[in-house]
Amino acid sequence: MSSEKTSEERREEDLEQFRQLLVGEDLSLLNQLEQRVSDFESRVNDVSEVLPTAFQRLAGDPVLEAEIERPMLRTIHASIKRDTHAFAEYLFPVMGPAIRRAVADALKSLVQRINVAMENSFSAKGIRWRLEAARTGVPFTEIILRHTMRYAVLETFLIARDTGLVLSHVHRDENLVLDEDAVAAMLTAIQSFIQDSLGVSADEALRSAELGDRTLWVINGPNALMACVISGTPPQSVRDELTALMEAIHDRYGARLTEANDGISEVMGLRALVHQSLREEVDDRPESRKRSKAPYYWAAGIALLLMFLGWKTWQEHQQRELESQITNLFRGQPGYLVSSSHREEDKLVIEGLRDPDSMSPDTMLAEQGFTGQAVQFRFKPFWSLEPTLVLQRMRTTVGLADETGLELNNGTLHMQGIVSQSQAEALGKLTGSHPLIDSLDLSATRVTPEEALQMTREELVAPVSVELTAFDGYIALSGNSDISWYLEASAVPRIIGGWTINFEPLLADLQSAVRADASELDGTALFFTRQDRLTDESETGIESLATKLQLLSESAGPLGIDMTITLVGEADGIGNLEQNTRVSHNRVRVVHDIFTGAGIDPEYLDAEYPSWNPGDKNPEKRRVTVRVTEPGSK
Amino acid sequence: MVGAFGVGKTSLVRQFVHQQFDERYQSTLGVKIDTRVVDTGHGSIKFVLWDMEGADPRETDERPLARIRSYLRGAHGLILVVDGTRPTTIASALDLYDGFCKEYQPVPAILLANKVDLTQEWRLDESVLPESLDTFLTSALNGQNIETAFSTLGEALTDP
Repeated sequence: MSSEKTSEERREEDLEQFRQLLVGEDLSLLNQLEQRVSDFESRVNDVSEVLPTAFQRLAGDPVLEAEIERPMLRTIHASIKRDTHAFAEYLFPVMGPAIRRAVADALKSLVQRINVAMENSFSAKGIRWRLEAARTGVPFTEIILRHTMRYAVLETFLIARDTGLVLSHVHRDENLVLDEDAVAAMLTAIQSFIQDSLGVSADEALRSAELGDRTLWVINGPNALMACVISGTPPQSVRDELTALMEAIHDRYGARLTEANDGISEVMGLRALVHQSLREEVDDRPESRKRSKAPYYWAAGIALLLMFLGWKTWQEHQQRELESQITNLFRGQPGYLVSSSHREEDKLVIEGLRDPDSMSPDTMLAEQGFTGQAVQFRFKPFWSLEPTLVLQRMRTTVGLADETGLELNNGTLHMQGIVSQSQAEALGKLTGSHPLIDSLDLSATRVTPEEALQMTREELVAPVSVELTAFDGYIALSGNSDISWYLEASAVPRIIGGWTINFEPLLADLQSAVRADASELDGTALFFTRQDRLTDESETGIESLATKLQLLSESAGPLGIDMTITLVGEADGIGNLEQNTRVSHNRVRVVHDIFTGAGIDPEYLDAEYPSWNPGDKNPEKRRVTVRVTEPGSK
Repeated sequence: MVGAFGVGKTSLVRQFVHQQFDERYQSTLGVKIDTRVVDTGHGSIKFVLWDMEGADPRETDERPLARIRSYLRGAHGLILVVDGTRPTTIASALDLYDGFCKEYQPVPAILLANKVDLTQEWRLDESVLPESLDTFLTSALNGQNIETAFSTLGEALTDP
């Protein structure tokens, strides 16, 4: 063993003793501490014990969050780069629900847009908006949202106050992306320009600007400003909310907002905060107030339009029906052949053939009550073989009276009524030459009255004293004529030229004449002397009287007059009854003989002796009175 | 884009962004913003170009200058534009640059001497141009050196 220690060893010993003097009892503690610090495992255990509590205390500390954020992001980026599949696997359980939710939100928004669009599509407002969309080139749904949305923050720029550089830029619609740096720089320049030009202090900053339907709100902070492009009219509370958001941004990122090029713009937390500024408020007035009356107006308008269309259609149908009826009227009319019917302008035009002897079209229309209808006829003439028209034409051609009846049956032309001889002759010529007429039947016709009278006078050889009158198919004879002529003419029924000869009027006239004669002779007295010898005067006149009575009796019978010549014998009453009776009888006998001698048929003679009253003496009654009477007449 | 009146700031922007040139002159009032993405060695960069109205610190009317002063706040880079046919515009541009650097912190900047196509009227003495600034002789009419200028600025802006 070396007794000599090295100087080094001695120094160490000295130091050790010195340490003992200085720290003494604490030396072991120090050694423990040193061991603890240098021992890795020990350090790890210590940190792991305090780390959770430390994190808990520091939760919400923006400094800690900011400091942890960057290395964490770097770690995540590196991890993703290293193994993309693993990261996708980790995210997969999250991505699904997140994607579904995003899709649902997007669909919900889309449905809401569609609903708004549909609600407003057919309103006057909707049409106005459509015109606006066409005029401005902005999509219709966008126009709807502009009008229905109370407000919406479309874009937000977070701009560094000093540099004018964009710290963050969020926007709602991809179409609205502008050059953010240019916009931010311009805003900054405008701020400066206004402050300088208006002489306001740097503390007074631009707060808002309006252009068209866009409003620019500037929320000023100490280190940055937030410029929000807003559509619509946001309430003041929105500015308060944005101001609060700006304060939160400053609170969290503070001085970093002024540091250039430190990647602050890439911090997702910042972007998420700025994104909160993209808020909107849709018009959510209660449905009862919001519901437009336009659909009712549209419904009413459409109903009116439908009614009008229905009415027009019905009118058109009615018109067509009417025109069809008119056309069919002519189709079924003899003498018409309708080839076509159509409308020209406002008129119905009917074309075809028409027999000139047919009823005129206007008359047909008037008879059927189609007056006032605009109809134009284009008919060409033709001759129809319709029987009715053949007969009509015949009537017109021959000149038959309207009362003359014509009937065509199986080739025979039957006629009734008045047909003159010339007409009959003309009609007779048609027989055989007309395609429809083979024979002529005039049995029911009669000649004209004039012709009938002429023919009757000639055939009967009527004397001038006989008057002929034609009426209603009869030729009536009247006036005066010889009884013999009458008897001969009227011996048989006569029809001359279709007219029935009527002798009754003549008979009546002749009878009247006979009766007149009889009346004239009635009461003629033949006077006698005291006995049964005619006075000279009576004897002179009795021949004439007998002749007249003889003619009368000869006329009366053929004329149907039942005549009786009664001789009334009377006496003067002088003498007795027997004498007077005898004398009266003798006197009657005398006259009877003279009359029968004159040719009077004794069948016509009768005697009568009035009763005699004794004492009734009258020389005037030395007579025979001739009474000409008809039995039964008074 | 800063510089005096009529040096071609707007034309340069139009040529750079839209590859168009309009011979008509219409002075810019206030500022016009245009953007274009350019590829650099460090990735793509989006230029947000603030085409300022013309301003000359030496002019008595200080209003245009006051306006663009506020616009310049927050600029990441400057493009000074001078008219090669009007040497006085160089001083205007440099004064604007000095003023910017005094008021705000320096940023990458380039200088464009425009209208190089007007050879007959070219009056620029390149010796007076500051060496601290990358200078390019450009033409808004034919696009000469414009892409190069902006690419250079882009490289400077994206250089880590």
